Amino acid sequence: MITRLYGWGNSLASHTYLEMINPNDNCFPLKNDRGAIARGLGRSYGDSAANSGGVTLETQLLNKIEFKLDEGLVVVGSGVTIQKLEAESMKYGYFPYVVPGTAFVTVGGAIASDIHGKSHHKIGSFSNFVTEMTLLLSDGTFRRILPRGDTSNLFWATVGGMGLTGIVVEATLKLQEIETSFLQVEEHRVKDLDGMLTTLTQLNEKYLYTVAWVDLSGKYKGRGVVSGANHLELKHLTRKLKTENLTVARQRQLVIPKLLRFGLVNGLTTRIFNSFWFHKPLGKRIQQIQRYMHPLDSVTNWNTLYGKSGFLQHQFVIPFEKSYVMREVLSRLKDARCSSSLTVLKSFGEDSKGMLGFPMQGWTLAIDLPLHSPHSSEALKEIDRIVMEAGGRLYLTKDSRMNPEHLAIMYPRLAEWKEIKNNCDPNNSWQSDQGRRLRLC
Amino acid sequence: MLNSLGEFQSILVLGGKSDLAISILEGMPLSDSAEIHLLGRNILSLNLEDKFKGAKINLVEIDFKDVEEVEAKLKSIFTGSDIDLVIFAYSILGSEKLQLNKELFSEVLFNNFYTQALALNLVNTEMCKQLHGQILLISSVAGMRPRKRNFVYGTSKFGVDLIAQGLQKHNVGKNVFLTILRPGFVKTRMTEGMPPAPFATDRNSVAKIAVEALKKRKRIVYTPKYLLIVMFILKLLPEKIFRIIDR
Repeated sequence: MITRLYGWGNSLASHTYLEMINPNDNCFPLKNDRGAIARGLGRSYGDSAANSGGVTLETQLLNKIEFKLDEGLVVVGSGVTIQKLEAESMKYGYFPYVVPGTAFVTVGGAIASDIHGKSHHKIGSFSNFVTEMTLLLSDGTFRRILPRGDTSNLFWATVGGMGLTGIVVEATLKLQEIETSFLQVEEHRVKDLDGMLTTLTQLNEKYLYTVAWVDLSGKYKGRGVVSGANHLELKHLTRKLKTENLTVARQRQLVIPKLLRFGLVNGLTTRIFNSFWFHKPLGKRIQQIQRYMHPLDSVTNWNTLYGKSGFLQHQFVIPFEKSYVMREVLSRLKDARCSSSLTVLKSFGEDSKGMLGFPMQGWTLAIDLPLHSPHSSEALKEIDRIVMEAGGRLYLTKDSRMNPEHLAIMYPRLAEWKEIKNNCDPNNSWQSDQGRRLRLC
Repeated sequence: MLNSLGEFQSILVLGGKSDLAISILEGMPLSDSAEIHLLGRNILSLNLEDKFKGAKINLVEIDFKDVEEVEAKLKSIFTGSDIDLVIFAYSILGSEKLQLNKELFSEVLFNNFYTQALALNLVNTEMCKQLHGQILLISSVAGMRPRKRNFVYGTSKFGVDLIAQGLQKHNVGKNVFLTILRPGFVKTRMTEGMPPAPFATDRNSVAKIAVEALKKRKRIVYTPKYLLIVMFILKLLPEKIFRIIDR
């Protein structure tokens, strides 16, 4: 059956043959020579989890969770969501080391994108805590791959490989022990970009988790709110909070009604929202860990606020010493009158070991942009050029429009990755729309 | 596939020397790394430097009457990569005085109808495998009602137009959209030297309407747009009255 699928940005529709993969399945239905791709919850913004004219395999039945608490490990099916992993781990006083901004991501997706969290400056990305995984190859065999040893090449090609080397069936993850499910949070308001970078650097020293929200509207000065958080120790827990300790955050799930899905996000509403958010009360507080890590998850379908035309997210990383690029990016967006109410700045502490892994030491900026600005295409092309010249790169998980010719420059290990892809998938059975668009398959 | 900004990555033009096709391509939103395949006769003499926003241009010399070669070439292009848009822009106008001449009669029908119908079917099949894509067929209002001066040409356009309408029905649910462009008289190299008919337009106006129609995935579009009403009326006229107009 032909199904229409979208990425999270709702800007790219793919018509595909949607199937489900079962545990222990070692064969997957191929309709033609357009191959297959795995799909978790479809939270990538572009077309990396869809395959027009081919097969898209949903992984939700790969839902095994098996704890090995004596080793601090958990074996999970790739269809298990981060949300479920968090909830189950907390029962035993554990939590994943790295979680992304939304918990509605599968473990398979987390590996395919080598996701990063608010703690990257201290402990790196998701793949640092994957001790092994089982990969279903295109010839129907299951291969156990590890980060070191004979299978390390295939492991690090799969990490960040956007699902194009095979389907991760299950993975073993290290978990961190936590005393409480609360964080001690500190927030600061900053008036410009220089203040933002300085404050974020200071908080990076002190806190395990840091993130900055940037106001991309108005004068485009780079003002915003920077926050840092550390795990709260048990001795600091109040009596009231002790009753909620190590339980899932209780929060009302909001759904954007159809009436508001007309493209509410525009220049004016962005300025109003940003002004309100910049001036919100700040300070030191205790916050439940899931609420801090996944602030937007309480609004189920917030992406529909951008209307039918959708939006795109543009995320890049640049070396620390090239921070002037941020100023140029803000300037280009101001000239093109592209405003954003969701721009997030973080810092990365190390390069990803994945061949197509996005993180590298430096500043990373993620910008949500509605698609109605007539000048956004030129502005983004110019930003790509500036980022590339500064030695930076774009995040494939957020990509929906990059120039494939930039890929080899941004990802120097691309040729190495392609060789491994050709070896493990000689018939080109793993394909996706993004893979074809960027000439990865 | 189109990227999230609606920019085309790859376009194929059958009749790459067509003035209309060139004008349409100039107005299309193209990605930085777009690739354009232009197929046609004597195409290698085309100078397209600095055209089409720096897209990579692939010129392919081909005679559309050689249906087997055309089939092989189209299949190889579709095997290489997905194609986002195919423009059918080749046709022979023929001669008003010699339109019933046996050779010219066959040539016009064979070239404009038969070869295009085959190629259209093949392209549509490939796009339906992709489950995405758009096709633009440059038809003509000459196919809407036969005129004394060009009814053989009109017949050939009517035939391929009808095939295209059938394919539109076939494509429902397959995410492949076929747009039929029915221009009136357009001032191009093909009509050079001919007295312009009423409602004549130029290539740039046609291109603008075509690009807009592709963006909106329109089924049928006339140039100028009001020709839709004009043709509706003309088709209803009794033959005796139409002949008076068709002098």
